Amino acid sequence: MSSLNKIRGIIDELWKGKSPRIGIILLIFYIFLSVLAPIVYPYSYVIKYWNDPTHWQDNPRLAQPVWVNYFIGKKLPETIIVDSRNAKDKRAYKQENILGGFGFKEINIVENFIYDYDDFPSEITLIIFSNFSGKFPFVNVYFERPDGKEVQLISSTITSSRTTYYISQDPKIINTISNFVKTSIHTSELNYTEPQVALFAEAKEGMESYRTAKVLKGLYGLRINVLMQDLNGTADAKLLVYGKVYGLAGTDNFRRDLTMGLLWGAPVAISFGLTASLLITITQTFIAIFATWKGGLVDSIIQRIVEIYMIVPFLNILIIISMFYKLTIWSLLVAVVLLSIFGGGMKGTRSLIMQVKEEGYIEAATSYGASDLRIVLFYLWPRILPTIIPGLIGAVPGYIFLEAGLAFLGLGEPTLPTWGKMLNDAYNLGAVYQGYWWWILLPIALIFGIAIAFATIGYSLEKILNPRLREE
Amino acid sequence: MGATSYLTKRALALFLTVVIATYLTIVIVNIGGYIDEIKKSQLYEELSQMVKRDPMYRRLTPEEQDKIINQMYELEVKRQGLDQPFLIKSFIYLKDAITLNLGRSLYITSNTGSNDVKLIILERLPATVLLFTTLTIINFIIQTTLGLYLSRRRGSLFDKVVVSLAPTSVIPGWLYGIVLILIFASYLKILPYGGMVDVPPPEDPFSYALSVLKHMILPMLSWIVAGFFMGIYGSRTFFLLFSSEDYVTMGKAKGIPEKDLLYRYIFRPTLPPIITGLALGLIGSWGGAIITETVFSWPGLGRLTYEAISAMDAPVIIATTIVYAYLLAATVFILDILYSYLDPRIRV
Repeated sequence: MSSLNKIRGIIDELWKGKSPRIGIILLIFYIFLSVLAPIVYPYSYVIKYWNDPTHWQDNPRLAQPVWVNYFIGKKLPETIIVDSRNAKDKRAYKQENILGGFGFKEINIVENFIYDYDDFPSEITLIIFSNFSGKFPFVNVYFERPDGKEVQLISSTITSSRTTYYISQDPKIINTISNFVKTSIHTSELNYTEPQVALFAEAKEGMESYRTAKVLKGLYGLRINVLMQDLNGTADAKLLVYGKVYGLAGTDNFRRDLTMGLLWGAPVAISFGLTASLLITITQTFIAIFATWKGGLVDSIIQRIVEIYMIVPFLNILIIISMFYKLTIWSLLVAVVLLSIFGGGMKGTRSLIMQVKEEGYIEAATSYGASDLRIVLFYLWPRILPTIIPGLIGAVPGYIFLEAGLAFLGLGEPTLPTWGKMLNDAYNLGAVYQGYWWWILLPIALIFGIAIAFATIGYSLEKILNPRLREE
Repeated sequence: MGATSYLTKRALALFLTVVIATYLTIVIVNIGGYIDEIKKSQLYEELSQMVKRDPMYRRLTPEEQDKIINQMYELEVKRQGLDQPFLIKSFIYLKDAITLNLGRSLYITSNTGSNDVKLIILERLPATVLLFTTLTIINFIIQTTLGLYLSRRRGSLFDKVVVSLAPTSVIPGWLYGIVLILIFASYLKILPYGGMVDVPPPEDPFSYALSVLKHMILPMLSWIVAGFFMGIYGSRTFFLLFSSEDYVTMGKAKGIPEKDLLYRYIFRPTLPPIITGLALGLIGSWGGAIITETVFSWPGLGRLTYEAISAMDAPVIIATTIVYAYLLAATVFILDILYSYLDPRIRV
């Protein structure tokens, strides 16, 4: 009970200061994130899908976070998906006719959507699903615009049960759209056309290019007409008009929802940093106490080992280990702990123990014949504990940055998303040069925050628990 | 004990430390048998090159050549002791490493196209030394002067700001670096993204130096920002401790001018620990080099390590580790020399 009161007293005192209060609030925020992460995205889901590019096909590529709209005063498009397989989707209509006399079946699908954004879509894709036997079905796709103009985008046979038309990349479709622009603005010369722009632009001069075109808002429609010989055949269509904003944190180059990675970064960072710091501080302190108490040969051997450890290029060796043995984050943790057992932190503990050793109660303990282990565990350890706790908390950011740094070099955890790994992806794919700020700044902001949280709490604890260092 | 014998002792101790550290590296790396494979494949490669070039063997069929290569390889493996148990082999590797016989790289080449690891490293070393030494010295000057200034103005607004922002220094410079690149290179477009010199490099030496300087701004700034508040806070507290010494109070009472008090009574006696701080700063900055140089594409040792990681070029990675160990030891040794010069007690 008394120790509980003590802890409460410490927390009360922490709360009094301005900067530790910020630290505590930040820490609570991160703990909240850590609890939220497995609830929103279960562990098995993250492990299975984070590195699976096929899972993210419905997301826009490199989309900014949704809240950007509030800052730029413009409504950037979100992704619009209309799927005729989804019976609840009222924007899709399907109708089947048997053209009895000809032995044909006709399937008509209409997919309507309202487009009222201030910017153009980033990509357009149409997927046609069809089950058929016998001859290949024939498909015609018409794009209907609010101004009454119509473009026939596709006219071809379907050869498999799933056919994807990349409307913004397919050269044949781009050519069709280019011809549409030519007739719309009565010109015969056109160097290039941006398909996703031209389809959604007002039919005026300059509608082919993103820089000059203006968005035409209103009700758009896609008419898909499938003709097949198989009277039992089916056909469905999924239209994807990819937007430019997505979710709370945007997406990356692989269309992944960055919210998931950012959220999962929190529990990974906290558990890695805290476990590393805890294990290292406790083993280091224990060895330091034991060696100093024993003195003599043991002490001087340990002292020499500590000096060698100072010369060993820690990061290089860690890099070699991670590179050769392809470490996961947890085996990395073990490696870090093993490599840090004789770290520099022991010098401080040693000088403290040298003082404590001379105190009366220790002398009393030796005189009644207490064993070495008893003195170390029950007399010295409790005495040293308060002095190491601030350092323990304060060292957590260091280990978080170590993990982030290794991940940044591409040596990180292979399956789980971490902040460092997101930065590594962003950096490798040129996010800095292209100005994909959200992909870089959001993970950095989260790392900054967690570092500040632990650092401020560590500093303030230092002042409370070791009053000799307190500011006058 | 004279200074020379003290330094000799220290040099020996440090050398021994480097030997042990290198040995540790070798043991760790070779748990998976990697060095063995690399050594053997390099040996085989060299021998087959030799045999294929030799006019004496040229008339032979490829099969016969292979047979000769294999024979020579077996012999050479025996001669170099590569068929020995690891314990013995590890000392062979240790000897190679300590004598800086660093072998040949697998993929990475020097600017002249050589595979000699020593050459590659010598090419990259100056860039790292230039950046991180300048950086450490600038950081040191900023932090000590502002710390000294603040120690005389305790409790002022600037002092309070420094104290409360000290925790920002736990964030390493390379992370600030990424943000700075986004601001100054990506958004404002006034400084380069990275690299060491413009492409193509300027002809005359003056504009060349200017170009290098321009490329150094962001990497240096990132570590200056990172170390700023904690560094000033640290040196301020340090000077505060020393200015509460009795002899300073005495000097004040005697009416010694403020300036003399500052430089002769406070600054001079604190020099040895300050120099320690400087050297530790230098050592610390080497540690951050790998990631910092990667972020800024600075063509130094750190970037080389990163390139070696990406290419899985093990000999280069091991070599950089050994060179780092030497660099650290050299810094500690220089520190010892400075210390023995500054602290008269050691010279006795």
